[in-house]
Amino acid sequence: MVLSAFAEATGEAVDEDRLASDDPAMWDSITHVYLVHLIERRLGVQLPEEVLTGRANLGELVATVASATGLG
Amino acid sequence: VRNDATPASLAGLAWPELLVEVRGSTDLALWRAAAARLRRERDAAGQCARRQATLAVLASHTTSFYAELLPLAALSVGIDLAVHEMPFGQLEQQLIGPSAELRALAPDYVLLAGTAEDVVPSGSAGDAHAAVHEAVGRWSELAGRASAGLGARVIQQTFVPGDDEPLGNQAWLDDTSQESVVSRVNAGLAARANGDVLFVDCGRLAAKYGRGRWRDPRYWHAVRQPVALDAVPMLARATAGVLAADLGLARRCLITDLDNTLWDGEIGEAGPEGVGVDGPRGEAFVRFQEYLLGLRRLGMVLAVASKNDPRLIAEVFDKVPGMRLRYSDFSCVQAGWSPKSVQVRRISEQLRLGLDSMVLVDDNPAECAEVLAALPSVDVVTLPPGPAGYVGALADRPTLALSRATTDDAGRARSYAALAAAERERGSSSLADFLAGLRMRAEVRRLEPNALDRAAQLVTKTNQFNLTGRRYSRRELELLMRDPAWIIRTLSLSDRLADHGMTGLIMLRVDGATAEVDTLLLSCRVIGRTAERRLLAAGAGDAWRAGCRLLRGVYRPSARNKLVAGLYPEAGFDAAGGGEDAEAEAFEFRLKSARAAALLDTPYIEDAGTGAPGTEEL
Repeated sequence: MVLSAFAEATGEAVDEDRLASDDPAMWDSITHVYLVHLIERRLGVQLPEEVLTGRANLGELVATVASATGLG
Repeated sequence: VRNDATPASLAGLAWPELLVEVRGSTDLALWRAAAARLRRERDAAGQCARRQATLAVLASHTTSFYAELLPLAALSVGIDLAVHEMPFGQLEQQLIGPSAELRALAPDYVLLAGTAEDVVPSGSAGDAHAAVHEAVGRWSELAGRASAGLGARVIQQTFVPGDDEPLGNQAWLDDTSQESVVSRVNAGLAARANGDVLFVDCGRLAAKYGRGRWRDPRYWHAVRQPVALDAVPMLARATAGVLAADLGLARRCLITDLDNTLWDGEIGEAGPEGVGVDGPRGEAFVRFQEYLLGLRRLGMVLAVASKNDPRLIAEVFDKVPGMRLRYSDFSCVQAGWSPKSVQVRRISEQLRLGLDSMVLVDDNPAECAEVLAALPSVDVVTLPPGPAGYVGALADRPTLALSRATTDDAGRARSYAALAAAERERGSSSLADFLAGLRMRAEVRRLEPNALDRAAQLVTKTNQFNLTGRRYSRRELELLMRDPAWIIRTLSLSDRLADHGMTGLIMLRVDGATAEVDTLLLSCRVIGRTAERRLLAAGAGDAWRAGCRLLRGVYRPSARNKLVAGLYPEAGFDAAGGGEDAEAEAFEFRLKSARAAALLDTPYIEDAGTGAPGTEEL
C-alpha cells in the first residue's frame, strides 16, 4: 500500500534501492507530505505527527505505517 | 462525463473531456493526477486556453499545493496561467520596491494570502480594535503596492478564523474574538479596495467544506500548510472562477434540457399534462428552476435544447402548475429531433454568442457526451441522478462564476431574446427594410464615472466587434476619462423590441491634428445595425471640435474579429499602410469640413436626445 501510494504521489515506480535510500532528494517535502496524506486517507489512520516533518526513508515509513495499523 | 472519474480513468480522456471532469470535481487525487498530466502535456492542453496570464502568489504560508493546482484550475476556465510562487512570508520584502524578481515577472495578477494568525493578536493581551486597524492597513497597503508598483490586478484571499475560540459559543457576540476580528478585517479590506481588488471568499469555502476540517493543525504545525489538502482543489477552483469573471471568460449562456431536468417526467411519454413539479421530488425541480432564474437575473442568457415536439413545450410552461420559469425567460428555444450538438450550434448562431460562451445542462450523460465530442469548447454539466442534487451540480462551477451585476446586465438577457426575434424577422425582407423597421434610437454620451463599470466590462469582454482588441481595466479607463488627450464616448441603443442599454464604445487619442481611433467596439447583441457608424460620426465630430483634421483608424486582427476587417474601407476611409505592429492595418479619413463627420453617420438610427453626437451643431 505504501509503495503504491508512493508511486501515485511521485508518479514513479519504486524499486528495492529506493526503499533503503536516505537520499532526501529522492522526493521533496511536498511530495512527502502528500504521501503521508495519501497513506492516512487510504488506511483511515493517523500517523504520528513527527512523520510529517521527519525525513524517514521509505523502508522506515513502511515500518511506521505497519505499527500505526497494528500490523507491526 | 461522470462524477465517478478516478485518476486512472483520466488517462484516456481528451483535454476538453478532462477539463469537464475537473470543473465538476474537488477530489484531490483526480486534481493532482490531472495537474501532473498538464505539466507533461502543456502544449496539447494549451489548445483549450483562450487567454494567457501570469500570476504571482505572495503568502504568509506554504502555497505549494495550491500553486501546483492553479494552472489546472485556470485552464478549466480557458486561461493558460503561468503561476509563480514567491518565497513565503516575504510579502513586504517583495512588494515594497518591488523586488527585481517581481518587476521582471511583471505579473498580470498578484494573489495575496494570509491566515488568521496574521491578523489576530496572539494570546488575549492584544487590543482587538487596534489589530483590525493594523491588519486592514497592512494588507490594503500590500494590495496598493502590487497594483501601483507592478500594475497588477490584485486577488486577495479573505481571512478565515480558526475554530479554537476560548469563548466558544459566545465568541460571535464578543468583539475581541477571532471570529469578530477576522470578519471586521475582511469587511475593512473590501471597503478599502473600493472595487479594485478581487476577493476569493475563503470564509464561504471553509463553511461549505466544514470549518472544523478546513485546516488540519498537524499540517499547519509541520509545514505551514494552512488548508487541509483535500480542500485545496476547492480553493484553486474558486480562484479560477475569480479569474474567469475578471477576464470575461465566464460562460454567458446556459442551455438547459427540459424533461427530467426542469420538470419531472417526459412529455413524449406522459404528454404535456403528465409532467410536473409537485411533491417532494417536484420541489427539487422548482428549486432548480429558481436557481436558473437567479442566474438569469444576473445576466445569464437562458436557452433550451430539447428533443421534443416544439409545440408541446410552450404548453407545459403555460399549463403545468408551480413552474417558476416562463417560456419567455428563454432567449432561444431549440426543440426537435436533431442531435443536441446541432441544436446548440443553432442557439449559438441565433444569439451570436460563441460556443465557448455556452454551458449545456442535461440529465442524460449520452447527450452531454455527444455535445462535448462534437463541440469541445462547450462546457457540459451532466446532472446527478436525483433532482435534489441539480443546484449543487451548478453551484461553484468556475465557468459560471458571474461578476456582480452592473445595471445594464439585467436588460441583457431580454435584449438577446429580442435579437433572436429580430434574427427571425430579417429572413424575408431586405436589410434596409429590416434596419428601418427596427426604429432604433441611440444616445451617445461622454464616458462618465457612473458608466465606468459597464465600459470596463465592454472593453474586457468584447471580442468579435472590436477593431483593436485593446483591454483597459476600470482604473485605466477612469484615468483616460479625465485625460484631455482622450475622447471617450459610449453608445446606448434601443429599438422597438428592446432596450439594449450601453452596448458601444469609442476611444480616440488626440495627437495634434490627428485623432486615432484607439478602440471601437460593439456588444454582439447590436452587431449588424450600423450603430458603429453613429459612434464613428460622434467621435469624428468631437475630434473636429478638438482641432483634428485627420481621423486614423486601425484594424488589428485577432482570432475572433474578422467580422470588422472591412469596417474602415466601407465607411469611406483610405488605406494608409500597416499599423504599429506587423498584422495591423491603418486607414485614414480626412475631416475636410465641419460636415465631414456626418458622412460617417447612419440613416437608420434616430438620435435619442441628451449628449447626442451633435452633428447638427457643426
